[in-house]
Amino acid sequence: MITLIIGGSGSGKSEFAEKFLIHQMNQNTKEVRYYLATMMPTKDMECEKRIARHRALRKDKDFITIEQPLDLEKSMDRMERGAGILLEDLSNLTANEMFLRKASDSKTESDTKRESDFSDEILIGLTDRIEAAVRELGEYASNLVIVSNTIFEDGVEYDEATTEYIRALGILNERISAFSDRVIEVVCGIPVSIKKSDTTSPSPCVID
Amino acid sequence: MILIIGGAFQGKASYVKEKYGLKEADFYDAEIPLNPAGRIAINHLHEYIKKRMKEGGNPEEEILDFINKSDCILICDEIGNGIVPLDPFEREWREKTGRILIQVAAKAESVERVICGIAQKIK
Repeated sequence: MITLIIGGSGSGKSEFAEKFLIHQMNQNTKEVRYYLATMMPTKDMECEKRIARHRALRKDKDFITIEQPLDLEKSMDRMERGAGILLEDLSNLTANEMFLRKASDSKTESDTKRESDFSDEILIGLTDRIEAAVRELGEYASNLVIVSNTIFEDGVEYDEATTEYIRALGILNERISAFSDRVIEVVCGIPVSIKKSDTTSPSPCVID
Repeated sequence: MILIIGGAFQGKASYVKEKYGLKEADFYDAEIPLNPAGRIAINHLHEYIKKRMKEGGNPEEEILDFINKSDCILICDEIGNGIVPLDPFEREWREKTGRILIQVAAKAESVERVICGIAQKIK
């Protein structure tokens, strides 16, 4: 079972995703739950606060945290097969792969990497790789919940690197949605079903 | 209390007037009235939150207090569906608006999302 959960900033998608995975797994309480964390810890206070808030949300929910800011495919070396996995989140992972890899590979200034251009080949190669890793995770897990962002609706024209990032996440959301059993958008903390294997029209969905 | 959410210029206010029979005079623009008479609508809730954050107020408490004692329709733009802004205040505003909306939605008897003038009842 693969579920893609999307939402804007502050939409409550993370909290919903955690509850949703636990709800999905209730039939088998012995299964292990992993939280695949993609945020690269920095010295930034706001980033620390965000990580702390997510940690507080997960407290008492019995998640084993696996830090994987890059190379998603490698995460499976550290997780057992047939578990529940929450990938939090696809947008961070994609941003890290696009903007942090070069920085961590070549140790260049963080400002220079934002100006680097992404040719179609690089972008397609990158999205192919992430998509393949998510597919593999979906087969590896009993239940995979992927959290992603809605960043496509502000009508603002951004610089080239940011536009390429928006495009990459758009491609990934679309491709992952295609092989997900369910796609749910979270609006003001309320889940709205976008795709359910047996229906096609969006409708509110209730889980608890 | 009813929450109406949707992007800018989606026909949210017209929808509220038509569906709930409210008049122009029942609308407050980005402000919380002191002693409202009857059912009122507060439009542009996201702007109210921004204004109060800039003034150093506590929009979260003010809004939650107000909905506890008033029969109202809150109308708010969806502002979280874009690239997270570089400006820290802009970022905090989006995050705070989202967090307030989650609490408002949890207390609302109905939540409706308006897209292209069409409302979808999501709660």
